[in-house]
Amino acid sequence: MKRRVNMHRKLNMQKRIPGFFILLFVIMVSATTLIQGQQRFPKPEFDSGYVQPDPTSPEPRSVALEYFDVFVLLAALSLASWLAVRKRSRKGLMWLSIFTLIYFGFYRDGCICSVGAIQNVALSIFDPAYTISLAALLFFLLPLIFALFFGRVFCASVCPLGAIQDLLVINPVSIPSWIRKTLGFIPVIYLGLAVLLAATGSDFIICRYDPFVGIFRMDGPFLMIFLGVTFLLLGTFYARPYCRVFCPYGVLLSWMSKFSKYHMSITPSECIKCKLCKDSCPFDAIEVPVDKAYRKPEVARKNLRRFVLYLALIPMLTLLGGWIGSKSHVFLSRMHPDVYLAELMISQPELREDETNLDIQAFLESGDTFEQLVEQAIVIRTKFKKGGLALGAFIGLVLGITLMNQVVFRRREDYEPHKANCFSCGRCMDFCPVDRGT
Amino acid sequence: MKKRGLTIVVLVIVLVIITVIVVDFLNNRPDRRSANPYALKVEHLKDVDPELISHKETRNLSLGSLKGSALVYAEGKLFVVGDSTLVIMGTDGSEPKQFEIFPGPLSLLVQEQGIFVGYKRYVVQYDHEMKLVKQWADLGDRAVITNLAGNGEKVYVADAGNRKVTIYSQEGDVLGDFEGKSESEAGHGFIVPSANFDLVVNDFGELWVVNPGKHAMENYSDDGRMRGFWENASFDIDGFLGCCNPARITVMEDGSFITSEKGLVRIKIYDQSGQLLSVVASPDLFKEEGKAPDVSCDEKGVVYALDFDRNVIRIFEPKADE
Repeated sequence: MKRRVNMHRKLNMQKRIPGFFILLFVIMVSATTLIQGQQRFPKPEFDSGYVQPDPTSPEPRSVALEYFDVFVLLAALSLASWLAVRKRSRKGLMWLSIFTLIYFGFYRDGCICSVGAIQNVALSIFDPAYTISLAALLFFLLPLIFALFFGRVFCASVCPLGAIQDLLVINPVSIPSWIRKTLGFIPVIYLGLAVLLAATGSDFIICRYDPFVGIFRMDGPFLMIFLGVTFLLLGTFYARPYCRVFCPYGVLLSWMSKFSKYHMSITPSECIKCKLCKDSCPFDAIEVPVDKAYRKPEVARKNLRRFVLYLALIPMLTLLGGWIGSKSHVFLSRMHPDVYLAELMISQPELREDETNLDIQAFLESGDTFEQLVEQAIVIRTKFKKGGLALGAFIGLVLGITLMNQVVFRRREDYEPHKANCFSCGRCMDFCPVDRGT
Repeated sequence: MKKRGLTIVVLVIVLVIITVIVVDFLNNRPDRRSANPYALKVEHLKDVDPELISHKETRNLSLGSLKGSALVYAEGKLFVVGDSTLVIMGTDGSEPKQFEIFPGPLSLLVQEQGIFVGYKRYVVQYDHEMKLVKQWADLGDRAVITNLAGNGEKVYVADAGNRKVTIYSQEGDVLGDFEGKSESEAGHGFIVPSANFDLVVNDFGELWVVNPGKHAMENYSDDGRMRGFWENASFDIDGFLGCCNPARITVMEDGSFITSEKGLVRIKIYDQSGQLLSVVASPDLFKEEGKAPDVSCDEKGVVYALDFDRNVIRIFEPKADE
């Protein structure tokens, strides 16, 4: 009897939950309207013909709506995990990616985004004066946590950057493995550079060169629209080029995904080695069964020797990278606007009189002295010395580990998704002829 | 296309993308950035129809080493404060008399009952012999007193920091304050984005307060209830533009307003309903992006402007045919 009452309550709860969420959504939308409706003061009516520049970032949202975005992210990640791991539904994942493309892409104008949140996190770690919002922190952490358990479900159907490319994969081609791996090193460098520039307060280059923001906002500089369209055209035959060749967040997700315990599998039961999955994957992310030749003692010995060699190379590459990075700090520090400006004003003092130079005029108007600028530039350059060392060491370390991984062969009898590279898009599952009950 | 050809295409496109990003980054350095395409062009606003100009500049009075901060014409004389000095002189600069006052004066009011000097957070009252009568109560950390006005019974203190007008008795007792708010849409409250917040009492005893963010002139009863207003935000000569204009005002005997604007510096005359009557001084007479001169005028319509950028009193007399 008690059990029946509990079930009854449970059923009632299930009925109430959608209603509750609809009510919550209505309240939040109403709150936004009210918040947006109250301006700081009425704008005077000017009729000057002046064309105002479009803002480069979306208008700030109320805190409540920022948390609503986090809720949507969490819900989308949970649903994507369920669709990829349990339901094994390619169609479900595709519809979810259309929703997130509309919500996080076109509705939220591509901001807030987990990819760009890397920079907020980096800046908050290295600059005590900067406080990251909880929403931005959660946008950074949640996809990584999900990747640690379920693989890159964020890439599958939650990331709007991935979704817009995924929908335009028309005739994907496979390119040689060595080129793929070489190109795959670009995101590592991009990640390191983005963290260095954010940590030193120089620039948020991930946001600045986000190729799809212009498309999401239906507006933007010509260059960014050009980049976005180029990526999409390239993506018709080289699937998800931004994700595979540039995305810095993908580097972190691939590391997490490597250890994922509940990563999606291609076949629901026993693999019949039909290779359909390999042909279906537009990202070359299917690992084939390991050739038995690798198990022969002479091949294994040879690989062991190479493994030891590459293992020994790791500290050397790390040190070498650190040394090169440290030596490059003067060059790298010029990416910071203050350092560049200080050098410019020293080398070309006549530019101080140039009224068309906005940066110099803005500095002169700020009231700071030139000596203060130089002092600031010296402090920043010191940061770059440490940062350059760390960047170089990081790149050297990743290069060393990547080389070492070339000679590590794990026993594999079946076709399996490459946990680090697989976007969990579900195409392979869709193509797998094996039934659940087989 | 064969696989090899497509691979080359992929590599070329990736290379193009990287090149575009790097070139864009380099082209946005401070010495390579293109001129601001969104710069507001105000050059054409400096041109004023000569027919509109009613005054001509006839004389400048140098203030010497004194850094003037406020100017008032009263009792046939010019009163100027600055640094830690009050100077009283003839309208031609003759017979200047200097008096030491508290340092840092920002505003000035001369009435029969005394001379009131406004500082950032308080007002100091002197008698006409320049003897200290009373230092009024401090208005607090946030206060930025920008101007004073009086009707013989009350003194009105414009406080840009607190965005309100504080009403004092002649003895320095606080009688109340108002923020320009009312239930009607017009009574939004004072919008004061910078320390430019002026007020004036005309010869009919009407208190007018500038609402600079709204580019409006608002008329209040002596206890702070709004009675009327006019506003004109426009790029045309008959309106006000910028964040906070008119920055300074004074009144003529007939109740007309003399307004002084910052940024695109110009001095104009409006009637009580907000109709532009004439231009006293056009922008070409002032420094580009300059401060609004403090203005005062005499019975003959001569306008005295304290030009902060040049530190001189500039005298504009009505043209002979006016």
